[in-house]
Amino acid sequence: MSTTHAALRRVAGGAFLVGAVVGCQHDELVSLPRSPVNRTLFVSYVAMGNSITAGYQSGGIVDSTQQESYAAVIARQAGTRYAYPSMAFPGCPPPIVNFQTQALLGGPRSTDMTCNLRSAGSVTAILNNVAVPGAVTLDPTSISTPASNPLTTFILGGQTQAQRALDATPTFVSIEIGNNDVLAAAERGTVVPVAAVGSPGVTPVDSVVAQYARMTAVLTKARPTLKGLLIGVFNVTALPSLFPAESLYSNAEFQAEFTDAAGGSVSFEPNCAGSHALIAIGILQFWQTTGLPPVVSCQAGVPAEPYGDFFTLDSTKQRIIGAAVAGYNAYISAKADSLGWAYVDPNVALGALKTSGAIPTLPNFLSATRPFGPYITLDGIHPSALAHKVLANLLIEGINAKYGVAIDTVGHQ
Amino acid sequence: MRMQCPLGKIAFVAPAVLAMVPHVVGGQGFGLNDIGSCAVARAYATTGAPCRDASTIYWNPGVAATLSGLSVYAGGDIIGVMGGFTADTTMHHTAANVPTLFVPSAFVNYGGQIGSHRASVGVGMYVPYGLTSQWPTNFSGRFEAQTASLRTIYFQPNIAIDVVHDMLSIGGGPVIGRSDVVLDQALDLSAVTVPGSGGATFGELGVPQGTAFALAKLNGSATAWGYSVGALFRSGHDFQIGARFLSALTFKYDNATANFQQLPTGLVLAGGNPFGAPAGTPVDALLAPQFEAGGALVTQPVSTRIVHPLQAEAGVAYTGLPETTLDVDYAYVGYQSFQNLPVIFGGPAGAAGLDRTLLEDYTSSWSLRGSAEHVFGDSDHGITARAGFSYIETPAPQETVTPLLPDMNRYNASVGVGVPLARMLSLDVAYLHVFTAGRRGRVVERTDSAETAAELNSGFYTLAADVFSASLRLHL
Repeated sequence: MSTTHAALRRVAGGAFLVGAVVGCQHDELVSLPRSPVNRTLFVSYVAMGNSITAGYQSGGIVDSTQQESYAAVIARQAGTRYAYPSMAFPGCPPPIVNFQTQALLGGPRSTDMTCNLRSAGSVTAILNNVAVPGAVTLDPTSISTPASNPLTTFILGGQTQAQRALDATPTFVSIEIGNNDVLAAAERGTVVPVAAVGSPGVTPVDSVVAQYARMTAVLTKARPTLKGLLIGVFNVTALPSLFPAESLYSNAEFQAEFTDAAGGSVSFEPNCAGSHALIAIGILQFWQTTGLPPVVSCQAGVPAEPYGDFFTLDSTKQRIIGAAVAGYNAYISAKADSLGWAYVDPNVALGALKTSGAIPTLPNFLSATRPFGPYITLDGIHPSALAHKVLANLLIEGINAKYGVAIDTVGHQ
Repeated sequence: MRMQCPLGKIAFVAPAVLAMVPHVVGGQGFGLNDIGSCAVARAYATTGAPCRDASTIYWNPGVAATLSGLSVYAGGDIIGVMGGFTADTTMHHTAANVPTLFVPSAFVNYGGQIGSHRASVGVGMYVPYGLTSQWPTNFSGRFEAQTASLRTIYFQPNIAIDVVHDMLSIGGGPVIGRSDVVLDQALDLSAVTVPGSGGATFGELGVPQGTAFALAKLNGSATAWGYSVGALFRSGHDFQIGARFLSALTFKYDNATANFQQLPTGLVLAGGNPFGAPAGTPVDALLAPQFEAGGALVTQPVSTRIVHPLQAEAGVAYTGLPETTLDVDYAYVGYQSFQNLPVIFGGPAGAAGLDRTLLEDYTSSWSLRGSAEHVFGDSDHGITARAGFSYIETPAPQETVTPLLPDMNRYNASVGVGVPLARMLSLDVAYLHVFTAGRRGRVVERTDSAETAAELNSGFYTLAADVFSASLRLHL
């Protein structure tokens, strides 16, 4: 079996949830007839955020995945204009279309360096989705941050998310930001900055609070009557790209699949029993790129550094990340209250999907198209079209409840 | 990656150079009919029964033969244009800020006898085509035109003769036209091609559409020749038929000049940008060399060509009512000659492949005009009341309704009066209002004839105008 490594190379963006990636369309503008909603609350809607909002799936982004973003779903349901920065086929980078072969959309000529730029037809003065994959809470009001990447320019063109959002003179804004302030820490097992694995660590709650406050202040100062929806940060430790280390010991079949994915030979230290540690699937690529012998360990420094540390989340790290997410969300919820905006915690839905098994606890290394189930795409992180619908409905219900409107939810298919 | 582009020489998808915008007054397209206050008062229905003044050199050159002695007619029109554009997406309304305009005209005619025939010689100076447009600097259509003006003055020596006494008179003469054109136009960075990118534009790299990075200032002048003829046939005493023809004049602005001024975009590149520039690099810094020696956007010659279309008009007048003249005219303007605007740079912009052709695709246009005139008191020295109404069919197709010329069907309603000031001197004053129903249009350039109005038009133009006209008539 081929490895899963490349799938994890491009765990770039936001947080949670998948589906097959298909071709590309250029229908970047959705305009529906006037309705009570789009004449009032949704006269002009803008979505800010990171890769989830942008429509990143399976380690890539292309027009067809962008059309499946929850933001697109909300705009359609609200009957409001929705122009997004459509990335031309096969994407930038192209999404993975086969988990086992790691084939990318566009065929053999596509690589993870491929970028076919914005679709010419999507070049517009006003965007309704200004989210940038990889963005952290520092980004919406900053021209450039350590998280900036080529997509920052392709989407924002030299402005900040806040500036691009205000260009649309929005009446309603949704903000989904903060996942990337903990995601890399979770995926690489490093709650403090470690350059060797490209992890900025966990952003302190105080820093997130300050940046979040700055962002909402910029928006509301320019648009005092602005209404909005603040979306909580996902509990990134619940993502299926992280699995219980103990499964490698208790589940022989899973251990065999994992060992095969690692190249056929893995040593298992006995310290994982009862540790409740999580292993990030990115450990496979780490071993491959560094040449380190594959060893699973749940105790830092055993048998030597960096075993048991990088790409491993022990209980302490999980608590740190969990506390950070809780701290972020406590502030975001309070901020929504103070602004009179809606707040939605997505972890309720994420937890339900996880509990029901719809999001599997263990990845299926033998599946080419659904290794993480129907709700999470092939990178183990980003939501599928199906999950975006679930999220959109959750958000729509939150908007309806807060603002007394009646936006229809969308059916699951 | 398709995009690997240190910024080199930029290929600019250049400006819509040397196009024009109407005062949007009584004429169709970029035509102006405000030639003489009597004609304005009659909504331009004056070919079947021309005004009894020297402005007939324009309205019907043949009738000049019926004016005896020295006739002088001079005056001008003050034109105020109200208009704007409402964008579909934001419902934002941008009002045009066209300055109040003054359009002069002057005619001199001397009528005498050649044997048994009445005849005349004269000369006219008038403005049959002219346009002015001005939009705010933040208008989304500023890339089509921010400020534009076309001022074309025709000089027409004229001779006329009463071929059959009191039945048929004919006249005409050469026309010398002098035209000045000015266009200030913002340039949109999103439409500019990035070198080494396989044809990708800055827009495809994320630069928002409508990012002004330069102001192109173009001006030029040209001279052209043509002719004008006219005739009036009287049937008995109650009916008369008039007709006129003004040929097309082709103005070649071969000596025009293009200047370019860099405008700040305010864009700053983030880290990891596809230009390979350090984080925090202003986009303006990357573009600045293009405005310096060796760049594409330095002062340079440019040329274009604008055909001022032919005009043909015929009218029937009834004079059977006491001291009253009724006139109905049909006018045809050959705007099909206005198909495109070639823009040819004579400097580095041309060498960089920036020459282009703007698609206009105008069709012929027509208008129907009616007027009534009644003299109170003495027929030679009484007070003359005038009124008129006309409908003008636009020559602009729905794909070519632009900030340069947001043309649309128009209705003109007018009133006026002629008041004797002395035995040989009188004053004509008139007021005309231009009504329109508005029209959908675009603010972006049409680059391919396959592009449809549905794809291009993104808002609604409104338009109205007031014309105040005054002229002195001297008859010795």
